[in-house]
Amino acid sequence: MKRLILLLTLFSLSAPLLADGLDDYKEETESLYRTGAGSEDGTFTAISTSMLGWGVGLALGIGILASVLHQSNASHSHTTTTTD
Amino acid sequence: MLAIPIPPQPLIDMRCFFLLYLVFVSSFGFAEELTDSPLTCFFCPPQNWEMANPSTLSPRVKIAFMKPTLSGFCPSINLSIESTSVSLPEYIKAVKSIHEQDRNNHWRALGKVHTEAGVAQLTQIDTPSEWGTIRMLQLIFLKEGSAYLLTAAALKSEFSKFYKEIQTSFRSLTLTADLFQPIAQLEKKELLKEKKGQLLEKIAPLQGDKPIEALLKDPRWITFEQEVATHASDMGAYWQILVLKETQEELLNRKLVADVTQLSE
Repeated sequence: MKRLILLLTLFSLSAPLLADGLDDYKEETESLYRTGAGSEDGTFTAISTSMLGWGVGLALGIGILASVLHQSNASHSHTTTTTD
Repeated sequence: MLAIPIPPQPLIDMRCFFLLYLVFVSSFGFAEELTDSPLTCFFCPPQNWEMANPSTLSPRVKIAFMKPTLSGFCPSINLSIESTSVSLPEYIKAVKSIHEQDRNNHWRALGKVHTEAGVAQLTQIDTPSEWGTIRMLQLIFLKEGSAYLLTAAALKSEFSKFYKEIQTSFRSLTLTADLFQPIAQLEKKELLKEKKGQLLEKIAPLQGDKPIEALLKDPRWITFEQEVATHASDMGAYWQILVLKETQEELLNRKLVADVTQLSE
């Protein structure tokens, strides 16, 4: 009985220490696991920015084309009106 | 006699409490920032490259620039910062393992590069895409518990066209405790410091109840913006943004301190 009480006391005393040790271990593991995330973010953003940039360029191209077509149509209709 | 009930007086005015809270929060935030790294990192992006929309950036990426083109995948460059406790070789090892998880990627270390901040490690990642192979050059620099990374991307077939500009940008990577320190010309450095000091002296005492947004529409602030852009055009857009942000923060801190002092009097 005495042994059992002693074991339980020892266990209850060591439990918080074990928990702290586990927390430290968890933090260390997580920080090591996260190492290099800046590199990953950098490459991800580099590709996405370049793709979005292409989208902006495409939109700009479409805009220019649309305005050229609009001007061309306008001048055509203007010519038509003058001939009429 | 009629007993007039006296409403309980609050110990401290609610607005004063809110302002004090803001001052404490901002001071703790500032202290934390200082503990993490007292250094500010910046680089000079290639000329005529445009700033990317900040809302599209990944969490650790501070700023990105790109060169819009109509011909497809456009070149870009960005700066990311990560807190780390490991050494440079360990960090490189971690980076290598991350990029090699995808078997399509081809990662390799290219060697050392001398930058304004110090000697950094240059790495290369090639990855396939619909446009063709994308080549990324990544510069890694570690100092005082932080990893500073510059990542440039372009199509492998076009990379040689932008290589010189990218290399110049990589070499401009600077870490400083004083943003005005890296300005080479002493006259310009002193002029800009003086202009900033004058602005803080003129604007801060007049703030009153105006929100900071209204103050930033002040003609004197707009003049300061123009002066920074004119006198420090060679420092690049990111440096200019950092100087304006730092000045805004100083204005905000002065406003909060002035408001709290006024309320406590």
